[in-house]
Amino acid sequence: MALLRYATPLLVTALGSALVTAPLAHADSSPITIVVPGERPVNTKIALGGLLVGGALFTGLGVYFHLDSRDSASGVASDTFTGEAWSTEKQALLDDANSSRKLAIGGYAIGGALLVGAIVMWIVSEPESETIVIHPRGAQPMVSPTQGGAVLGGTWSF
Amino acid sequence: MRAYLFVLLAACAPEIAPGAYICGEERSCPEELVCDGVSNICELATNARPFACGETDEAEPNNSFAEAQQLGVLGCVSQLAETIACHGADGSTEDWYRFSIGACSSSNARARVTFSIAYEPLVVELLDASGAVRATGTPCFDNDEDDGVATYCIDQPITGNAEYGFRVSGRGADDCAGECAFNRYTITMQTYTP
Repeated sequence: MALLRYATPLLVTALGSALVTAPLAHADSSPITIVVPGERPVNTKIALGGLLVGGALFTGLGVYFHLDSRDSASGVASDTFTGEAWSTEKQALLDDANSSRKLAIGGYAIGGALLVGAIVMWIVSEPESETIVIHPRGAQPMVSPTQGGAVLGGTWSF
Repeated sequence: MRAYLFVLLAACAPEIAPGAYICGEERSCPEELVCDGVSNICELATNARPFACGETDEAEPNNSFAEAQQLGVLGCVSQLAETIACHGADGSTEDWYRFSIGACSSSNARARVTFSIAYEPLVVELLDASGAVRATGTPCFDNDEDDGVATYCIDQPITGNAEYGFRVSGRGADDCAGECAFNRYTITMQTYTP
């Protein structure tokens, strides 16, 4: 960090022309440590967002086909004697239930994989933080006699 | 997590218990179940039995008009004659039931055949002594095959002092490509004055 100097003129009488510095405090104070958190690149954020959206989308499709399968299955499922003959209509309902079941499994599998991928990517792409240490110095007064007086100021750095 | 996912997916599969459904056309049943040949119910393959005629009232042989099972001389209005019979499994392709009718000015012959839809569908016909088909059975007004049973009826005017015969035969279709070209049936026959 650049060293900054600031001098404040102050009129003091009856001193010489030489610049005199008289430290008023100890030259070095305790260091100040600042931790600056890192930030993920934009591309990583976009990828994470895509994985989350994709995972939610496919999981939602899985839920939809799951409910559709259950709806079709309810039309034929029975654990007691129905008094009805098996028919092509019932077979079609059974086929619909089975096909929706397969689609639900696929949706859940893909959605789950994308969500797990998002979690893994979130962990792996954790950015490193940056540590900054500041060593402040004590202020030093400065006196410079002038004709008829003196200039009093101070210098410090940070 | 894995167990929960398994239960979730298992809920999608329809559970059809053995014995829940009557056999459909051509012995159709839900997957993993087979038509039991005695009860006509969809059962596990290990519990399914082959087709059997069971006890019948049929008097074999009755495979032609000449050999037909006699119902006797019926009046203009007769009692209901009922026969439990079996087609195909005993080797016969036709079953005949013969009757005579006395001097009636107007009389109708009525027949009603009931059979399972799981096996070969049957056809019932009314023929006269010369062998001419006078009527062919049509689905009865109360025919409802959702319960696994089909019912066909004949209701035909006949002339008095004549002989007639009811013939029951296989339709020749929907018989599992010949693998289920048989069926059990019940036939009721009657004459009446409309």
